Amino acid sequence: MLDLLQPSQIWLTKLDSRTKLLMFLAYAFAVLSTKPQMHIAWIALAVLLAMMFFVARIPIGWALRRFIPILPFVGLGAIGLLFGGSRETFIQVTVKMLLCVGAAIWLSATTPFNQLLEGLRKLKVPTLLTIMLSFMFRYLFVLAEESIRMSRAYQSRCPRKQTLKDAANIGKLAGALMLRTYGRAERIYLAMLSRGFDGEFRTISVQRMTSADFALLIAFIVSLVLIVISLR
Amino acid sequence: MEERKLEMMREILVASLFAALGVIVPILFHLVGLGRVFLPMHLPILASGFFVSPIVAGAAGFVTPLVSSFLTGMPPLPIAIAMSIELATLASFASICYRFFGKMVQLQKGIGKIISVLSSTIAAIVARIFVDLILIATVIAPLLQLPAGAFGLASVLVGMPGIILQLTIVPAVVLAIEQVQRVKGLWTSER
Repeated sequence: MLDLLQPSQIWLTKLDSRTKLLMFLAYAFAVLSTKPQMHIAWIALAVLLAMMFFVARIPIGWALRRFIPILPFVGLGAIGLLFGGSRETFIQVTVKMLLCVGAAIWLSATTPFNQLLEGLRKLKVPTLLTIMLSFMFRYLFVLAEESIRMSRAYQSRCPRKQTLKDAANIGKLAGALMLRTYGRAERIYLAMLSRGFDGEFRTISVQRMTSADFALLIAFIVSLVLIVISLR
Repeated sequence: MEERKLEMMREILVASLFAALGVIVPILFHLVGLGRVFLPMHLPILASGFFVSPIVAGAAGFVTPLVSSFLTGMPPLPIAIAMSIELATLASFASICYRFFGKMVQLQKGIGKIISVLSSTIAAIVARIFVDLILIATVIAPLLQLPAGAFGLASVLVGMPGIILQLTIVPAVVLAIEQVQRVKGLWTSER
């Protein structure tokens, strides 16, 4: 699930991360602002997304795998239909979910997380959030390794299909993971202090908004506005 | 000033690692085939509220669903926005209540500690449910054009096993960490 794509070195990945971030936000806003039964607008937005995927040269197999986690949510909505839920609402939520997730996949495939953080910093997102995101991303994979090791150990001692009764054990596993995480946080903090950390993060900024960035961003936003307004 | 900055950094570090767990624990639950009724993302976020200030806890709760959505695709984006508000409330309320009850309960060691941790957990969960029912179901969900039912009473009832898990696991983890802090004098957060 944490399988990230190494962005291919094309002109799109070399653009400023703020451009791609703003394109993503504009797209998500356009999707969420569409009214129910705007089927043609949804199709146009899907075509636009497909073009974005094509331009970014994102492997289709990888992208499709990233859609798998939303299937349970779609399934739950479908179950709701059996109990008298509105078909129109189900379609609307599913389409919007797919389009927004697709846009997030495009962003994650074209922008390395570190560049994204730099973009957020330059967009004046509060420092608390950007520092938190950078720490989070740095230790996410370390903790993921640890959790997989613990999960493997549990499954090797309990080699059967897990049922609801095992929820308490998995909960205890999560508890043990939290204890270890707290210990790790303390050790990292001590290590930072011992290296002379004074509470300031210093970064070298290499990204810059060029005329190509502005041109792409304006063209993209104009096409979104045209889709949402003309296909209303 | 310098010391305050460093203390803040320690809090951000702890909250970030718990937020990272907020992305991993749901994957752990899914690996063994246990579904979303256990609200696995809530567990580490709620626990983080006991160790950091309300603002930092709220920030951890806010970013976790968004990062998880960005990296793993779950929860899907429109739902992740609503969950951000829900988790920010949960973590910051746990932090506020723990500080408040900690001052009220005089017996900080033993039973007083257990009471303050348990009551803070319950208060944070109740606050989260209120935000779900009042703010998210009636204001945020219609704004995002999501069905209000996804955050209404039905969703609270579906998440009952998760609430039970939170009530058992989180106080145990918090008390265990505080016990370890007392035993190991080297820990930076020891007071």
